[in-house]
Amino acid sequence: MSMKRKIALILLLATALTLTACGPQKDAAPVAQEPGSLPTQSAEPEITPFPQATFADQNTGSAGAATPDPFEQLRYDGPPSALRPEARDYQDIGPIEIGEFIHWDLSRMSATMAYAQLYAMLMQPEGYVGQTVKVQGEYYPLTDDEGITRVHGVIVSDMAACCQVGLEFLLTGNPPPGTYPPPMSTVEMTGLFDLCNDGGEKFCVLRINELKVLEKASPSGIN
Amino acid sequence: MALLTCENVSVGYEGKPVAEAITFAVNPKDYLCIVGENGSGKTTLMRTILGLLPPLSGKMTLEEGVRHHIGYLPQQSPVQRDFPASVREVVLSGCLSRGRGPFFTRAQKALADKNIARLNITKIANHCYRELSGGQQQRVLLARALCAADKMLLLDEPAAGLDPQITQEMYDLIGDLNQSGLTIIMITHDVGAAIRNASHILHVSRTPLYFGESEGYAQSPLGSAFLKEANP
Amino acid sequence: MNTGGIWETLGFYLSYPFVQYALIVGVLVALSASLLGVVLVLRRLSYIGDGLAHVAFGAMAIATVLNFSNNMLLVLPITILFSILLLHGGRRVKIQGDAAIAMMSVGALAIGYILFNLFPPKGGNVSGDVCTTLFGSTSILTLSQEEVWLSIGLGFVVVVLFVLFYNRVFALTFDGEFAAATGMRTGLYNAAVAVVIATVISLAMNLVGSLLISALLVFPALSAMRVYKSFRSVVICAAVFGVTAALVGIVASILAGTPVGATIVAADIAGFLLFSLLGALKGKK
Repeated sequence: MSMKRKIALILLLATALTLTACGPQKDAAPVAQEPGSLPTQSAEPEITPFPQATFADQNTGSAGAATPDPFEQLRYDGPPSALRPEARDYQDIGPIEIGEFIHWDLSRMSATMAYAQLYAMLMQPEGYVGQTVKVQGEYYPLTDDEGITRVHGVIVSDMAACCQVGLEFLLTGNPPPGTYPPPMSTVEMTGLFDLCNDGGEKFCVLRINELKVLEKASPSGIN
Repeated sequence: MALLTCENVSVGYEGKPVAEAITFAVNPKDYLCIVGENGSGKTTLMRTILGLLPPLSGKMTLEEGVRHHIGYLPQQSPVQRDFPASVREVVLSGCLSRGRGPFFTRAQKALADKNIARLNITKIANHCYRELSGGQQQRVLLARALCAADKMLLLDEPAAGLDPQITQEMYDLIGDLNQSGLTIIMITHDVGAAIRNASHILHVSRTPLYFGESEGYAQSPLGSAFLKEANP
Repeated sequence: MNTGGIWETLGFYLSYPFVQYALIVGVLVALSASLLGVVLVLRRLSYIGDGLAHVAFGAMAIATVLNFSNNMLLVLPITILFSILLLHGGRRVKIQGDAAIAMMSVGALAIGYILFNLFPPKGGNVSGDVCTTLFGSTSILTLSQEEVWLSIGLGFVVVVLFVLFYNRVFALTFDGEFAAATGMRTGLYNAAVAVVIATVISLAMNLVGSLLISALLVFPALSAMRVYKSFRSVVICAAVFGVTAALVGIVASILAGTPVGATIVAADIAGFLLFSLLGALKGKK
């Protein structure tokens, strides 16, 4: 239970960091909602006010799992992009080449397996950096107050949609308008798994060259 | 050195006494029969002796260590109808009171087999307990009690519901056991058998009316009245 | 999908570590639950298993709200406490306990759910978390290393204890009064059984969720009792049955994409029907 919450939180925090670190506009969003927020965060994720911001370490892992909990007060010291360490910024690392061989084809697994595998990848991302992953799921953008999408995510659910895990993806280059379908459309993508660092926060991204829309949802949005 | 001593003991449930002022002692090799009308507290007294109920007042002393050498045949076995247990498993469970290790020793298994043979239930040793007749179940439970009984055997109406021949066999068996050194405390309705077999009688009735030797009981007005009632 | 394809997929899936962990933990938890289940069923305490599962859910909710690093740290003690309280009375509990247990278990469920809503887990996916805790959709596949080792350790301990105390467990279950009368310290053993039951239930929540734990406890015992007549064979059969159902359930769920917990219970039901049939046929002979 706690793990799934963290995944969604990783996504949402990524939004927050996008708002703070990147882009020309700095949102002077109110800070008041989160009294004990993490020190690296200066603006607010407007999405959901969290009742409490002290996140206990909910997954210490064993000797084998070296993943530090991203919500610990530890800064992640990795490069902005583990895939291309010399890149200066996690968002734009230049063109990528996606090979023919797919390491993890989540689109052909049963819902239970796809969910669990993506979950495992997000929990211990180091071993998956650079591998080709194919994902099929629902497109879920995270927008800020002004309706600008900050994070593009794909959500993989288990059969009952009871459990869901999300993965942020980034299209290389400048995607033309109309690339992104309405939220909750079924999308499919193949790309390289990457582990990124933005302002000390660690998160995962799938770098893709092309976004395939399988089924457009109605533009009214989620549900 | 008495195995069991009761001094002015009251027994009952939840503070309400069923029988009071009971005083008697049981020595090794005694054969004590507890008699009395229905509801007079005999079973309650036995359960108190066994430690299943606390005595309401008075002093009840069981000699050191005897607790683990007692066998008990209850009047009604609280076993459920569909409990899966073979006869052998039930009898063997009586050996636990003196066991230490997790598994039964060969000696314990041999003891169980011996008692099974004694009670003539070898043929059904592997049958399911719940599929036996009442009499057979009684014998299985007695075999179990014998496995546990090293020094003392407590029986609550062992012949209830059994036909006369089996009843006689049972009394004979119990008599033999007593002869070979086992102390017996038995609750029974059969006053005649009690007088014939037992060395001592305790007549319980709200307050005990008699404790002493069996011959004395037969002569006493209480005993003879009771006998006449039982055998009109 | 052809059969060859299924086997291939399965073999492929089995190479995933989290699948391997799920199978190991699942087997151990199912084994512990089956063994304990025999005791619970025969002592007519099956409803206590269900009640305790709801208490465990409530405890899980509290642990979540308080942001425990490892939920088990709170769930285990609370469930053990309630278990001892419930079972301590021995036979007395059966008489007066029915209504009390019903109240307690429903209360724990309701309060747990309210807590989940008042203090939503950080992702905001309240119904998902509740659903997982109640029904165990995929939690067994997303265990942390810590949880895996804890589950393996506890499951192992339960099984070993059961084997070592097997004879005493039988005596206690068959005729607790006789055991007490002949000097066995039944109070102590009953307390130990209560602790073990609570432990197994807390563990099993990860496998099948709160609402379905009863199935894991009860179906193997009942199925075995349909066919076998001695305690030993019932225990062994229940163990084999429970483990098989868990394995089949986990494998089927990852192949078909169904929720793990419910699939295991479905396997249990199928097995029960099969055993009932076997028992009926055996009876006719």
